[in-house]
Amino acid sequence: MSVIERNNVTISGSGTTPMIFAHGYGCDQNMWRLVAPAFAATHKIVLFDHVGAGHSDLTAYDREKYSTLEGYADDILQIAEELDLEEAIFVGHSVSAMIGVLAAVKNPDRFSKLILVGPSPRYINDGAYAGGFNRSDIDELLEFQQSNYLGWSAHLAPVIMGNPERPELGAELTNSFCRTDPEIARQFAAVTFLSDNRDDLPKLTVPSLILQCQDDVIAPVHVGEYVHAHTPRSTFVLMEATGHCPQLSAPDETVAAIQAFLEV
Amino acid sequence: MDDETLKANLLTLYEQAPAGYIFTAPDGTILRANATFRDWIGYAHEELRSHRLQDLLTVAGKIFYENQYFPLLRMQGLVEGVTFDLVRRDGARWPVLISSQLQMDDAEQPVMIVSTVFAAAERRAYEHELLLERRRADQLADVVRASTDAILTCSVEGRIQSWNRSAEHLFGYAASAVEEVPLPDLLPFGSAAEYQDAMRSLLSGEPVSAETVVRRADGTEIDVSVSMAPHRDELGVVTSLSAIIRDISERRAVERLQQEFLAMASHELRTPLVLIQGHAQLMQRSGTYNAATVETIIGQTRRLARLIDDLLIASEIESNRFGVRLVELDVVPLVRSMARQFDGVENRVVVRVPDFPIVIHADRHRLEQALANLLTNAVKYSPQGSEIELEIRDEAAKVVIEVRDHGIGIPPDAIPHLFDRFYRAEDVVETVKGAGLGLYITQQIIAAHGGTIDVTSEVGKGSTFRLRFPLTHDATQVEPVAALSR
Repeated sequence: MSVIERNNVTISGSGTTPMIFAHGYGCDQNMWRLVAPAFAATHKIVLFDHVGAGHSDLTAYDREKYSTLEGYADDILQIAEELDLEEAIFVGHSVSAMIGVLAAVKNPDRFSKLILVGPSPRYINDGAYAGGFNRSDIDELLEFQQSNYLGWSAHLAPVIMGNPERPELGAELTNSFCRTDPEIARQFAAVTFLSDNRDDLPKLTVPSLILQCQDDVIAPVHVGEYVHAHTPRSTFVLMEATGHCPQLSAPDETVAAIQAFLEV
Repeated sequence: MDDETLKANLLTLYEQAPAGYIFTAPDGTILRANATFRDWIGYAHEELRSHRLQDLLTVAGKIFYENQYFPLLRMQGLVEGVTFDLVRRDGARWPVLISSQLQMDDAEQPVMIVSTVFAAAERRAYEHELLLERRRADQLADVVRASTDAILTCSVEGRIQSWNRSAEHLFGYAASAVEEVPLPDLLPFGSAAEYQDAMRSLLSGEPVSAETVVRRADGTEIDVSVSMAPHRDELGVVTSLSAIIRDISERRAVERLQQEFLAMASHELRTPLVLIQGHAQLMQRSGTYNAATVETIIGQTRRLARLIDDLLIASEIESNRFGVRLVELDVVPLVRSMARQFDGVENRVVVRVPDFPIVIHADRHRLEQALANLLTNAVKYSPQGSEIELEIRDEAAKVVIEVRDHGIGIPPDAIPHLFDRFYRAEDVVETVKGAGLGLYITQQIIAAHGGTIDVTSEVGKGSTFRLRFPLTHDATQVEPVAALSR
């Protein structure tokens, strides 16, 4: 099982500079569908699914390896090595922003720039640090995962299997877009929302862009500001977009912000 | 219906619908919500318009909305029936299912989200029950899977429906193969009439148990105990049966052994009594004292006493009540006295012991019983006139007591079973009397002393039983010895 197969790596674009897009918790590489094509003419686009998501190889899931975000960071470095990527631009959404930071701290030579969309180094409040969530909120989230698996997978399943009565939706429907194996989803949620990578921010040497949305409950503005304050060589951009997924809710603004950063 | 009336009716239909209907901007800001939704959520219309739909969810719901619900909606244009909890104005949770549709303009840009909210409290309760039921069923399935008893279920016609691993072992049919085997073939239940009787009881709702014989796939039969129970459906009709079957062949074997033992024991007890009675009557008739007769009577009473002792000890051992009280004991005088007791005209007992004391921790009475058993055997299995030796030796931190005879010896294949309860070597059963308990009890006694017993023997030459006792041993009363397995 090659790394390419394991992570369902897809390569497109006619440029030479590699641009790796990493999806966050919940869905898969399709999250970049509205943004990545904008860079296809000028870059080599590398899309992939984290193990456990999308069309990745579920049998490659290792509870122990993926009990920390380092496991996911190692996968990215493996993909970079396998494809012999150099000076890569890394675009990471949500938890994958931090995963990218970890990868770049471990192996800075692979990356030229990091773009962090809605990053958070820690979700749970800690004294003066306001992550945005109480421990009880996260416990509730994990409990919601636990007791609600009928709701998560069974409800999503018929949606994702496609609706034969709505042919106009056509080929857009993909079967596993936001469906993860419930067990894996449970662990990934726990690892993500219980993580604390604040100490890794100062170690980053690669220049980075922080794209911060307004009204983002998952990565609030002050968390983005924290990331900016503690990450050397970082640029902070507060977007007009609201919510947590600007690459879907405001793709044009997202593309423009990234382009502006890359041209500098 | 004209257009104005239709519009009014549609509006009423919208507002009063049994579901919540909400229009939001693509970012979730509520544009309009119907009366039903407003009632459920507890907010007035004006208050709602400053909220986004996702703000009305729990924390977990918000995270799910941002990470999965909205992306799905954006990519597929449609999401159906996802579980959420709304948080009402008063803080209470309101379980719902939400479906949303994304409306786009001609330039493929999102302009509005139309959502339908279904109240789902009942459904949530069913799901919860379903989960609990599933867990319970899984747990029971585990119990059945792990059970060492064969457990099966079948239809009332006797067609096997479930079949656990132990049933596979017991009957010798794999689960996949047994479906074709009708129940009467598996549980003969005695005669056809007995089977019909059992079925009649079961169908009338009465459980049935029996001890019967099972025919395995290879044709062999084994003794089993069977418990069968009928199971009713929601209408009270018996639609299936279950059976728990236990292999009792081992129990049967033990019962058989016990029967044989009882038969043997009563025979053994009767023999000395007959002799005592006979000799006493003899003296009564002759009216004169006869020393030889009296000696026989006394000898037989001793024999009877020993046998009864053996039976009592065996019973104590079986019920874990057997104990020894170990005190410091000089075995030299004890051995001498045993030798004297068994020294007789038919067999001489020669004793070889040192002049100085040899002290071990022992229970006098029990040790005497053990030696008595060995000496009784030695006499029993030796020809008239041959010598029996009793010796005490010192051997590197152990005291060894040996009982040596020059009798018929023990065949090699009997030696491993010698100390088994009820065991008697085949070739002696007919010719020599005994209940087969002696060596079993002897070994238990020696073990309770912290010692060991072994035997060497040659057929036709004789046998040597060697008892080894430790010199150092934790003194005082020992707890009752757990019955050693046979």
